[in-house]
Amino acid sequence: MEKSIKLNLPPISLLDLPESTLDFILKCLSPMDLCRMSKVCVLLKGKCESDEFWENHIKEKWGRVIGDAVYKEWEWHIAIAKDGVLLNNQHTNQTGSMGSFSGVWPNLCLGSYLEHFKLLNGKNSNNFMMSLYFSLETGSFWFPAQVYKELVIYNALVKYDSQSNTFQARYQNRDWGFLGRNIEWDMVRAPAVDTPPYVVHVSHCSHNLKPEDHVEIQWRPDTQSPYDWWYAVIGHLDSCNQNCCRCHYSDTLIVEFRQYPEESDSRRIKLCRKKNEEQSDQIEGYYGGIRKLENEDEIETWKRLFPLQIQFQDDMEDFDDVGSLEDSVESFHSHDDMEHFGDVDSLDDNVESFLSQDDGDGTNPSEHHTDASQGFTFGEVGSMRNSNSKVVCCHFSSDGKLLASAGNDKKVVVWNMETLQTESTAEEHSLTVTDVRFRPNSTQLATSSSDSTVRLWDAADPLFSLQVHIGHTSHVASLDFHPTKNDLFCSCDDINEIRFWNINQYSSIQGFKGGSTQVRFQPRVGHLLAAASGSFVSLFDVETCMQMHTFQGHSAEVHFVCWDPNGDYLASVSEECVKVWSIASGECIHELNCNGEAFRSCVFHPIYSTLLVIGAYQSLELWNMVENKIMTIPAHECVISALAQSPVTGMIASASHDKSVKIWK
Amino acid sequence: MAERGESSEAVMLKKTEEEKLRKGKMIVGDESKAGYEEEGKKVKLVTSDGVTMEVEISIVKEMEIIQTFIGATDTDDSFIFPISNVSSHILNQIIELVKGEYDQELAKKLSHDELKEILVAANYLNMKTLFHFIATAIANVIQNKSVEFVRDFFGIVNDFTEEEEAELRKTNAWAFEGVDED
Repeated sequence: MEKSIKLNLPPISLLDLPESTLDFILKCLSPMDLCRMSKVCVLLKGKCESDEFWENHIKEKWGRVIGDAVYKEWEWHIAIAKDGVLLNNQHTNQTGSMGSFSGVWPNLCLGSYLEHFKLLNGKNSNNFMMSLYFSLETGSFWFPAQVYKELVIYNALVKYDSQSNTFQARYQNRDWGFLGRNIEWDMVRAPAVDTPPYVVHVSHCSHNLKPEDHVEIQWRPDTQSPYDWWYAVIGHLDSCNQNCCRCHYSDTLIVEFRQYPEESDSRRIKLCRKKNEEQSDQIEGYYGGIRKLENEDEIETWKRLFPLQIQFQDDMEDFDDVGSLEDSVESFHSHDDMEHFGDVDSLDDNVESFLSQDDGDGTNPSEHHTDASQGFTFGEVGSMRNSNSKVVCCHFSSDGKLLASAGNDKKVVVWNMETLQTESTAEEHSLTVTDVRFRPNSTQLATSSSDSTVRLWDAADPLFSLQVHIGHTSHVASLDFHPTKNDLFCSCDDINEIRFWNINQYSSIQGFKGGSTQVRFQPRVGHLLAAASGSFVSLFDVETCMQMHTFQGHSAEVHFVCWDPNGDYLASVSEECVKVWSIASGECIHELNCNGEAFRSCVFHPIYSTLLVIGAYQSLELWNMVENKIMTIPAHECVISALAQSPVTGMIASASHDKSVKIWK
Repeated sequence: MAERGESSEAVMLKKTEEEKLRKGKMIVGDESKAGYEEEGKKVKLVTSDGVTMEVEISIVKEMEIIQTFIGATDTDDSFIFPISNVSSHILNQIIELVKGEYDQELAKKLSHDELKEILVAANYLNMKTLFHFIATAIANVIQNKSVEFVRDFFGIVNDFTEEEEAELRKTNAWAFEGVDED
């Protein structure tokens, strides 16, 4: 009986059910299923594409990273699509669509960018939420969001990569350069306020701020840049008796950046509490509005994301024993005297013994004499061609016994100066090795590579790298070890990012902008870091990472920088000229223009401090800076890409694109 | 009629368990205890296939459509409610699901037809919890299935024109990747 009744029942169609039943089921479906359901029939298509069902999916997946600004930008793109402006414009091959602009020329900010405008073809522009979801999911839409990086949150345009489930970010400043790739969800947030990047945020909270309040404060290095937000904590006035604190009644507001050590000038800044406008101390930059972090979650996020940076001061505290800059300037003046280097003879003996080894292999001694200085000789004492392609960097170990060179071969060749034997490291880098540096007083060395990694090796056991440091988002161009604090090293990549690393930690401990070609710590004291970027060379305070000075004067890109052994002078090389700068005065004190082939590299002579050795195309130029005399020595068959010297042995090494490395003395 | 005897037995068997459960709940405090006595009380329901079934009041209470009658009428054992849209088979399934406290494992044992019929019944009887439970179960079934499967499952006829169909395939092609076997 029952069976017959069952047979008589017409097949149940979902569409016969009340609409609420259908809606309920559709609400349970994933975006992918909704898409598929929209292909079932006309009625379901209408339903499955409607905002009602997509709004939740957008909130669920993207809610953390998109804010009102994204919806406004999307309205903009939809409006353009509906007008058909781009689609009808036959004169351009433009496939993307610009979002809105804010600000006043030339400080304009692009609100968003849609890479594939075709996404909004046809009726998709009627489905606001669904098309937004797709543009986000497929990574076509660069939307405005904020990206945490170190203790700063940047205003950026961000797009999603579904393959890796991470984001890419571009920074509004610096011609839309990459701020980073493979950025995790945690590191992206919807803008906390809707203040555009060039506008001072109007602080409603500043009169209520009291010590230990957590804040984010707008900061920019100059008035042409957009603001970013820095995490800070409100501090006590110098005069405050903390038992009876009345700091919150004062017109002066102390803002503390606790990633800097207690004694650093950058740690505490004073702002006027009542000013609702940009405030500047001329040195550190420009401060805009303040946003108090009312929400415990926000504070916890900062602490969770950057525990290391917030504790940075503890790591750096024993950094203060490096001596003052003035001391080193004084000692330079005594070194300036040539008499000081009386023991040249003993070094010559060393060369004798070196030459007497006569290993044959590529060693081709030839002597060039120069009248630059009395009794001075300079000549090739050794040559090695162990590479199959361009050599771009070289460096001596502290004791002068090892010379490392590397380049397009993707490996390091270590040359033992005593035995003249060579050994190669494994080919672990996947792209060119751009720089190689020995750790001070160690056989360990580090390499930077275009493959965006930095690796640590031991020359005594070169078969495997000891460590790989990952963090850079682009080609790493250079690196250097700190001269005294030899757990510390730094590197820079070609998108102008400098990172500090501790050898015992795998993630970088500090990052900032300012160097893209080469980074070199000041020898001896290591108080400063020189970084070349474009035609500028900047000096950073190692302790605070603050830019202390910028040497400007080159008209072309600076390829190479080097310090004199005492750290008082810095030489920089561009194709057209070499400049020598005084650290004490900040001025260019010597300059040599290139009359022949382009300059490429340089190094201070290890013994004669008035001599600078310059690597050019095929030749070495010996330049007596004081007398401004030059001597040209034929050296290589191609560009001399790097030079190194050892004060212990008095040797100079030259690396060239002709695949060889040569030793000079 | 054999059918009826069987199901009544099932009800009897479940009864003791049900009572234990209710006693457990009473310790916590059963606030839903309305103005009428419910201990062991049953309501007679007549299904679409003419079967009269005695259903425990705790289950009937979830059926809001009958609940309105119970509230308005002085119920005694002789009162019979017709539920003309629900077959005895489906009512038994519903009872199982309610007693099983909506275990997803139970839903997996149901056929596609049963799922749909329970959904219709839950809608008719106005059983909110059951309705949500079964709608979710249906959403799980159609997850990651092809368009053809969905049409077949819901008894929907494709009413797109050829042009519309072609247009549809061009857009959002990724939604069709990795579809499960029907």
